Amino acid sequence: MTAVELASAVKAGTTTARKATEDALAAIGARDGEIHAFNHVMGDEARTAADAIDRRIAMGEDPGPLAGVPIALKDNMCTRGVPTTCSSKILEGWRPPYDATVVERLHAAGAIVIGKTNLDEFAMGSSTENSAFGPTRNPLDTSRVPGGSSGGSAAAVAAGYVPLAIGSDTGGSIRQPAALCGVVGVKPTYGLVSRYGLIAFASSLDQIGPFAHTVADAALLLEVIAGHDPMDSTSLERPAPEISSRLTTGVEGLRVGIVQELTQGIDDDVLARMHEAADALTAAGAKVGDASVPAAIYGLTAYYLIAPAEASSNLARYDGVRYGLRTDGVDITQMYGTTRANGFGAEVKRRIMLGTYALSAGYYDAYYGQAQRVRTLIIRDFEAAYADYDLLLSPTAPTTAFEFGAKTANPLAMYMSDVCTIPSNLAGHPAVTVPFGTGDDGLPVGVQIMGPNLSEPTVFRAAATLEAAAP
Amino acid sequence: MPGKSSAAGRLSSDDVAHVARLARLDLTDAELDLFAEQLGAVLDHAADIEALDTEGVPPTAHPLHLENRLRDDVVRPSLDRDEVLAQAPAAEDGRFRVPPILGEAP
Amino acid sequence: MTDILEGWEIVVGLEVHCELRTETKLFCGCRNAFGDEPNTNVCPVCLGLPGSLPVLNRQAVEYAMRIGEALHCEIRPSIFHRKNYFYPDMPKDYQVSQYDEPINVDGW
Repeated sequence: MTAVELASAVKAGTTTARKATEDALAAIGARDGEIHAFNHVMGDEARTAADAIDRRIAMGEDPGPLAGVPIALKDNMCTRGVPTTCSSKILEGWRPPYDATVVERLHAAGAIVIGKTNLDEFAMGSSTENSAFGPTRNPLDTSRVPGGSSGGSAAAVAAGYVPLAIGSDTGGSIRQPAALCGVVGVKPTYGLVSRYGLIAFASSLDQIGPFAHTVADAALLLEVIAGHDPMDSTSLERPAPEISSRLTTGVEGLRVGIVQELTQGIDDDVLARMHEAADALTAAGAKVGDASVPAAIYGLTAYYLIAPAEASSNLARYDGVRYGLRTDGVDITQMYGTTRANGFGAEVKRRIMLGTYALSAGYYDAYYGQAQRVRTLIIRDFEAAYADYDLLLSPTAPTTAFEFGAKTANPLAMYMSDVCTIPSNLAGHPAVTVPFGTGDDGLPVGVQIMGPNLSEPTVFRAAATLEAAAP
Repeated sequence: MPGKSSAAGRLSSDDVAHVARLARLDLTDAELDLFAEQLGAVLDHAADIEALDTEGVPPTAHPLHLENRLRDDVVRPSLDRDEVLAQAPAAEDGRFRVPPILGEAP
Repeated sequence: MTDILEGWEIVVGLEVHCELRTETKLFCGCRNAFGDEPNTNVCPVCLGLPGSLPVLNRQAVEYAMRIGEALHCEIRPSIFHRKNYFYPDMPKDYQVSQYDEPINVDGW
């Protein structure tokens, strides 16, 4: 059942929030020992919340557009009193004293938060292999990764535990796992969804967004969580956009450009599916052509200077003083050094080191400064492309789901997973991935639709068209 | 080993040790060597953009142009101290307890 | 003695820290009060808890501008930088500070 169908059924009384919750918990119990999508299942909290929803419905109230729908939440978003770990030893067992704004909005909409999902530690990674608590397995082929960093959330939906999940995307961490797991994933326009309570990785890139089986479900969830938040001064001063009501208006006359720079280094079968998706848009009345965003070829390099630089600053607070892991030392300096060495995994240390170096005296302008200027070039090239096209198209990931260990020997090999997704984070633009067929190995392929800021209604229309045409 | 250059040549183990001190990460010698090599490889790619002509191109720190996002000077509820200190690694007398700050400022 | 002092000009700089009398703190809505029990006017923002975000106090900006006027400063668009270092009384291990583009310059 989709989230839209489930919400209707709960509202109509043909099922209950409690039943939906028990079904989700049973599905998790049956399979998650193998998949490990969840770091923490909130059985008691979910049942209590579900019963409260059912009581309100019995009294004739409307508890909200997602009333009774179970949803999984990436474990880098604060849930009051419930462990929030970022899949790191340094926050193992930490119970925040507050809820993220996104969590408050889910509660206000009647959704049932069923648990916290696994991720690459501090959202740094593309396979969920960097979790300190063990990887998540791709439900479609358990010898393969689900992608990352939001691998747990992608797997929770792909495995059928829950119809909806929430992830975060800094360089592709929603879209790439969505593609590898065969589900819909959305990175909204930067600033559309509040980051208050999202544990920061790279503040100018991070965005929260939905995972779902259908475009309509993703639209519903995005409408619930989006909109201005006074607690986040980077949140856009506007309400949530209307997307659901315009989903089926089609793509007649829309100009769609295939970004040439993002067709390089892509597996042949993945590229073939993307071209078939372009053909489907043409068949539906869109005008498809070849677009160019020349500076996009520098996106990966700029990102792997900017993101670690911001991360090195955002992760300084994990110092053993007020919360999280502490390893004692004879003095504060030793305490800092050993706590952070013990608490952080290798990839996190690597990025903190890279970022600290890029920001250090004498190197700041050559590395971080130059990367910021390249970011401007990328934004300008996107603007030029959007003068000729309403939407841009590319593959979401260069390959289908890869095997565990396939890309862990060389960090750079793993970083390449995000080559198609990174440019939208740098520009702040929205992007949606829709499953479109399979690779030669029978594993899902995702196709990415990008648009300029606040073009979600148009991006989603195209996504809905592709969904209907998918093989 | 101190002074040994990475395979990529960009970063010596001394450079890496300095950065590790800045970041308050007590790394092992093996980690220093490994990171020197791995960071060197990433920074080699940075050469792609080092060479780009960005004369007159302003840096983008943030994708949105935000001005004057201000908050009214109105009191909001604070957290319960017990709930906060319950999460502290060490607490005493309503305060967070830390090891001594010896020698130079950390 | 006067020979030694000749040719030298005494220049004295004063770094003055002044607390602004706002109701709330600079970046969060906690009470700006002195002398209360430790850790009773704290929130995720001023504790630097994971996920917290600062929002600047309008009144503090207005006071700063008034001080700028009083000291004959040029009041300019300004931005904040992060000054990264580690100290146990600094929750985020960076200070949100003005660096090369402060609000008031060239006063007297």
